[in-house]
Order: sequence, then structure tokens, then C-alpha cells
Amino acid sequence: MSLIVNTLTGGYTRIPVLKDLSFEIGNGELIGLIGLNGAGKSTTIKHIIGLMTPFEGSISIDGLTINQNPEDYRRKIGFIPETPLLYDELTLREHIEMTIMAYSLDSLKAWEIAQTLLKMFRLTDRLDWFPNDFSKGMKQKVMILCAFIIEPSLYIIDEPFLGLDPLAIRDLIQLMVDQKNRGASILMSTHVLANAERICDRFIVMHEGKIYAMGTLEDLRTHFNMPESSLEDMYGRLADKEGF
Amino acid sequence: MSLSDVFKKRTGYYYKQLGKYLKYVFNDHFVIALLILVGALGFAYSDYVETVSADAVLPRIVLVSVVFSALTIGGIRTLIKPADGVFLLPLEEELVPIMHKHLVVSVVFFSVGMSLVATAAMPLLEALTISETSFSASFVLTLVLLKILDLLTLYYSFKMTSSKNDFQLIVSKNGWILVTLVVSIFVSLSLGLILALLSVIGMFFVTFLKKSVTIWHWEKLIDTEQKRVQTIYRLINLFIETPYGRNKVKRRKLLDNLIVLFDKNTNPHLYYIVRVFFRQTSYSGLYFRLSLIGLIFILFSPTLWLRLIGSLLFIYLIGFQLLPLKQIMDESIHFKLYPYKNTDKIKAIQKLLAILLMISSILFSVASLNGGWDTFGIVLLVNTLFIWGFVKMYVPKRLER
Repeated sequence: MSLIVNTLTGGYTRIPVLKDLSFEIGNGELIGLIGLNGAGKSTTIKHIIGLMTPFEGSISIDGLTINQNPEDYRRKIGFIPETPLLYDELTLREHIEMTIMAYSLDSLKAWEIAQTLLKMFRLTDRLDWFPNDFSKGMKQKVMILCAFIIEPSLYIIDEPFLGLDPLAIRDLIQLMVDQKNRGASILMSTHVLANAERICDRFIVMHEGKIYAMGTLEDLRTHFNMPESSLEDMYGRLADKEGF
Repeated sequence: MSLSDVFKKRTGYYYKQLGKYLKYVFNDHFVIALLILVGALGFAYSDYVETVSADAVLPRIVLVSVVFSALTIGGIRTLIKPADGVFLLPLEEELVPIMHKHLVVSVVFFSVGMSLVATAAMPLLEALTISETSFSASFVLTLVLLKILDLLTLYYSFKMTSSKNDFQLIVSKNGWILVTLVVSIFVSLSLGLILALLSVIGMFFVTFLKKSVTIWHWEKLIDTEQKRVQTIYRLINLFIETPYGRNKVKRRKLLDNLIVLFDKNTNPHLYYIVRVFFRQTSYSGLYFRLSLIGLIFILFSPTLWLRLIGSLLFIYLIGFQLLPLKQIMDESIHFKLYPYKNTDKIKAIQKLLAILLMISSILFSVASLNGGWDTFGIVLLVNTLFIWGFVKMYVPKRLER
């Protein structure tokens, strides 16, 4: 088991945003984290990365918790945030070098992967530019690139498709599938349900800080008693019915 | 490239940027105004000290509050950037020695600052017979220790383990600082020194010697550093436009009623810049701060001439620094599409400036009332003439280019 979240309760101040979450992601599994704005997806992600401490419950990756060894724990995670976060005064090349340094990667191997990705995202001739001047989609590509050269055991990807061109979306999906086949686990939060439906093995539907439903597309169809319907239909009708 | 190299580079860049902006600040005529202001304040202070009786309570309370506010200024210069929250996450341990260094740098810097504050307080301490000599080393030491306590507490709160009780931590630290100050000023300087020393030893122990895994509270580190840098740039923004602190917009719903007074929905230019002025912190903040400094300056100025020079100087500074409002309109695509002429933009700015500057001028005139009604009248008249000239002649010339 790669990621195990056990009865997690947590939030920003004393009031918990997340209430008693439990789920697991196995090796080679791609899980879609789904929910409306404010459902608690990003807060869940922050707890898993260790940017927030749980009030109760525990989180482990490959059996390791953050308190046992924060550095090793963090090296297991590749994180792509919702909005690209880049250094104003570093070039694309320097962002890659920074990642290699921070995650103690083997420089040759990391650059090899980087070159492939640069080519895929058509960024090869931008190596000495400042990514902060790029468009939203290109910035996002830089974030994706820096996470994928780490080759971690768990990817956490927050809303990856916004701003990407159709080619890049196709390539990103291919990258995620490749990493899955390598045995990495992926937790992806997204609102683009059509994409999620296509690639995710299982889904976690969150609402008001709780897990509302969880399972494969088939499981969800049975759970909501809506056979043959798409994720989008289910989500829409569910939201109407429950008054989300 | 190692992490310490990264931070070395950042330090260099930070001071280079700061130096670049400070150069502009110190070239500015505003510095002259500040020097005059400091001079006037110093003059007033030394006059005041001579009138203080040894057992007066009010000056003691003022002293405690001034020193307390001075102690809350300034945090730890960590140079952490938002992107660190993604890129540097696995470098928890490597960050520790770097953060130690940053703590030491800040401690040294603010110790010097607090020593200056303590030294400035000496004449008052002597007049109040809190200290028998004209220089009390224990008061200097107390203030330095209290600032170290403040910084240590901040450093402690950067670690995840402490974050749950952030609020209590700040309250108890400030409470302790206040108690120590009150003891120093009202009871005994040496007792205050002992309290300060004990608290620093205790906080040092909790922060460094208690064994635990360091997990940095990245979000807090990032937030605190962002706020710190913004405070510095907000100060610099008083003099020149920097890329930081620009576009900081606050809703300020309460001011909606005030906005209506300025603008009766007659033309889009005024409609827009009035709102820009009130909601963009750099403009309204600049106006209120300069008006306030001007007010204090004039309040403490002993002669008519000083009051006149002061009020004209501040009106000029305020007006001059509001002129970039025109650029905001020039940069907006909407004002290129609207069927209006360039002169309409200028007219809008003239109207806004006339109102704002007249308000300041009335404030300044009221501040000079302690020179009598004559002074009030002269200051108001000269200011009004100056504003008329500034708005009607200078502004269009300057903005037409």
C-alpha cells in the first residue's frame, strides 16, 4: 500500500475542515479526488504533503509517517499545485537544477527525463528563459516537468488540466499512465470529470470535508443507482438531489 | 548548487534590490522633510523632558507603550519564497542551519535598533528618576533581551510542533513583554532585567534544546516572509513605485458612502479613479500616511514659517505622488475604447486632487490653530492658493506629455 490515510481530522484553526477521512491508494493506482469548490480537496492534499498537521488520525506513505523522517517522507511525493508556483528570478534550467538538488536526484538521469519532457512540451529552446513570464499553460508544464523528474512513489496533482492545450493534456495523461505502470500511485484532484472518468481507477467524492462516496465508476453507478450514466451526470444529479 | 548557495544568492539579490530602492528614497526631497520632522520632534521631546516631574505616572505609561510598540516592529528575515513550498519541501534538515543564521542576523540587527530606542529614552528615565545615572546599561540590556524573546518566539512558531497554539503563544509572549516593561519602569530596572533574562533562557531552551523532529511550518514561513517584505516595500512605496505592493486592492465597503461624495456618476474617468484611489492601498495609504505625518509635523512646529513650509511641502508631496493615477487610466484598455479625449482624464485627476488636497490643507490649518486664528487663516489661504496653482497649472502641464 502506498498511501494510507487513517481517520484524518484536520483544518486551519480549531474548527475541523476535514472530518474523519479514511482511504488508501495502492501501488500503480490512479485515484480521482472529486468535489465542489470548498469540499476540502486542497486541505486534504495539504495534510498529505505535510503542510498541515492533522488534529487526529494519521497519514503514511510506504509505511512512513512525516514525524518519523520528514525528509524521506517528502522525497516520496511529487506535488503539482493548483496554481503554478515559480521563482521570479530563476530560469527554467535553474528550476530543474533546484529540483535535482532539493530531491537529491541523480543529475544525469534527471536531465535525461527532463530532456524528453522538454521536447514533449516544446520547451527545449526556452531553457534559459524565466518561466514566470510564460503563459499559464506553459507555467503549468514547468510544474509538471519538475514533479515528473523526481519519479516519486506518490504523485499529488491538483487540478492539472486547466490552461493546458489539448496536446499537452494528451501528453500529461500519457505520462500519468506511464508512471502508473511503473508502480507509482497518483492522487489527482480535478473538476474536469470527462478526463477523470477516462483515466482514474477509482474516485473519492468529497463533500463538506467528508468522503461522500468512494469506488470505481461501476461502484459509484451502483451506489447512486444510476446505471450507464457518466460521472458528470451522476455528479450533477447527485448535487441537485442533495442540494450541494 | 547547494541550499546554502541558493540562500547566499538570495541574500545578495535582496540587499541589491533594497539598496537600489533605498538610493531613490534617500535622493528624494522627502528625506529633508523627514529630517526636519525628526529635528522638530527631538526639540519638542527635550522641551518636554524638562517639564516632567519625578513621580509623574502618565509619562511612564507613555514610555511603556512606546517601547512596547517599538518591540513589536520587525521579524526574522528568512528570505523564504512562495515557490519554496513546492520545490524545497524535502530539505527540512538542511534548512535548519540556514534558519539559525537568519535568526542571528535579525537578532543582531534589532539589538542595535533597540539599543538606539533605549538610548533615546535615557533622558526621560533620568528625569523620572527611574535611573540615577544618565545612562542605564541594564535598561538597554532589558530591551535587547525582550527583542530576542520576541524573535525566538517567532522562530519557535515557524516549527510545525508549535503551530496549534499560535495565538496563545503570541498573547503570552506579548503579555510577558508588557509585564517586564511595567516592572522595569514602575518597580525596578534590575528586576525587569532579571525577568527578561529568565524568559530568554526559558524560550531558548524550549526552542533549541528540547529534542524533537523539525518539521517546518512552510505556509507560516511563506506568509510571514511575504508580509515582512511587503511592509518594507510599502514604506518604500511612499517614495517611489516598486513592483511590490502594487495592485493590492481592498474592498473597504464602509468607504462606499464616501466615494459617492466625490463622484456623482458623471464621467467614467472620475468614477474609476476615485475607486482606484480608495481601494488600492498604495494610493489611499500614501495619502493618509502623508497627511498624518504632515499633521504631526505642523502640530509640533513652533513658528508660522515652519508651519507654512511644512504644509506646502506635504501638500506638494501628496499631490505629486498621486499623479501616477493617470498611468493607471492610460494602461487600461477600456479608456482607449471609451469615446473620450485625453484631457478628460486630466480633468478627472484635477478634480480628485483638488478635493483631496483641500481636505489635507484644512487639516493642516486646524493643526496650526495653537498659533491662533491668524495663523490658521494665513496657512489656509496660502495653501489654497498653492493648491489652485498646483492643480490648474502644474498638473495639466505635467500630465499632457
